[in-house]
Amino acid sequence: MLDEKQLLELLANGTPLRDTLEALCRDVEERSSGMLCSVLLVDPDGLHLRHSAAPSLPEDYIRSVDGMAIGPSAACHGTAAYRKSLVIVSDIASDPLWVDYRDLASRHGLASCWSTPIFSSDAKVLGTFAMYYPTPRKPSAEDLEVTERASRIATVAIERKRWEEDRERLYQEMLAYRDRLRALSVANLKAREDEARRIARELHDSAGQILVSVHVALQELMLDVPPAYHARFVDVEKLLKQVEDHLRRISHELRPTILDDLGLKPALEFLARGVSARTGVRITVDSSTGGRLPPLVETALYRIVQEALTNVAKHAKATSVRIELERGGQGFRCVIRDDGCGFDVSGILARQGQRGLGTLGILERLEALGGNLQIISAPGAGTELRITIPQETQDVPPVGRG
Amino acid sequence: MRQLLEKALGAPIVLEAKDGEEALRLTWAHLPRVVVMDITMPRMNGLQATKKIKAECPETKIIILTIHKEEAYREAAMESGADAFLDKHAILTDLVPTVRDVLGQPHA
Repeated sequence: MLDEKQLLELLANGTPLRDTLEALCRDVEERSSGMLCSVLLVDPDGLHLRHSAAPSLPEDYIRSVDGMAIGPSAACHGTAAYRKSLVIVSDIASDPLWVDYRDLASRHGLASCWSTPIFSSDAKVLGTFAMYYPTPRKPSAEDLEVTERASRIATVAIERKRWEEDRERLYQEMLAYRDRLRALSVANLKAREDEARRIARELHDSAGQILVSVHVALQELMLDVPPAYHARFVDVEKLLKQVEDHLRRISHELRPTILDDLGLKPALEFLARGVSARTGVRITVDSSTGGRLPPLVETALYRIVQEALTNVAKHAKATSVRIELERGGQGFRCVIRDDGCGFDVSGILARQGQRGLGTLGILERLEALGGNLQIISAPGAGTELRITIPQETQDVPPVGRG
Repeated sequence: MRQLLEKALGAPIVLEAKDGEEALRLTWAHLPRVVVMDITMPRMNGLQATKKIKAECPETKIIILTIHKEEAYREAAMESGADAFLDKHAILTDLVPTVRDVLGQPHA
């Protein structure tokens, strides 16, 4: 008989469960002339049996048995599933268990039958394995042994298949979750950026305009007041200027209006001047992109360079940084290269994973746009970040699989 | 600003637009000698409007008047074809002289 090894080979080759169980039935049937086998599986509702494999039983019989209710007197199969034990009927014609199926069986020349439950490894009934003979008879010791072994092999086949199905289902669920996470991350990034833009505009433009009006009103007033008061006015103007500078700084830190009004290159130059002034690192920005890029790409590249420069300031001990922007046939390229201390990329990846590189924010931005980051660095040799973003980046970023 | 300009220049008409598109329409309809343009405006910003006006009416002088102090804005204003760039804080002292400058008029 088909042994477990052969069975697992069949399953490993991706053979459908039904074909495997049919092979098992045929294999058993070869042992004795006239003997027929069938496998029924418990329906997901737990109340009925469904046809699975019966390579030699007539179509009409198979159709009539398919869907049989599990119960205390449901031929051999339904009863075996109900009792959770072997049911032997040596004469179908006279056995009360077969009262509903007696005529059907006799029409197809089936005279005796025994059926055993196929148990799962945690002792639940998965289905039944049955043997039929064309004459009334009791099972031989060998018949019973073969029935028992066949049901155990069926257990392996069914569980293996269900395990594969579960694994595939979980995998698909995992992919769906991953896609949802990505979509959420994209939505979250967008929401944060919109909020930053809105607040930055409010501070810079709305509040800024009002403060300018106050400033101008003060100047006008100053024309009408005696010179003795002028010093006091100048003091108030100084305070006003401090408020303006403060609001302007907060606004630019949130999201510089230059990015939306003038584009990526001026915004990066503005950012670079600020970082240079704070850290003393010389920063140059070169761009051959010519004109504006898609808004999502401009925002992403601005934030990416911002994070990269923060990393340089924190860790690199660099004296200069060069930022290059290019537009190619495939999309947009940005290279950020510093002359700092560099680091062992693969060593850090092995010890700390992606987190250790301090580029999670960059990766989050890039993932949302289907972009890519490459880090080239070695101790003493500076660090280079190569970023590519595909051209076809749309307003609704693709949530790719990969 | 209207008062300031009318008083200082004795200018017969000063029109006001609430956004970049209206600025274009009024300019094309009235062909003013000088336009004082903000940058931050709804629908079309002042830099885009300046480019379009200069393409159609190169004679019209344009002064960008803004709260943006960054050099990048000044450069962008000049690239768009503006004739002058003015910080709004200096409106009281510098607007009228700047208008005279771009019109080639002697200062009072």
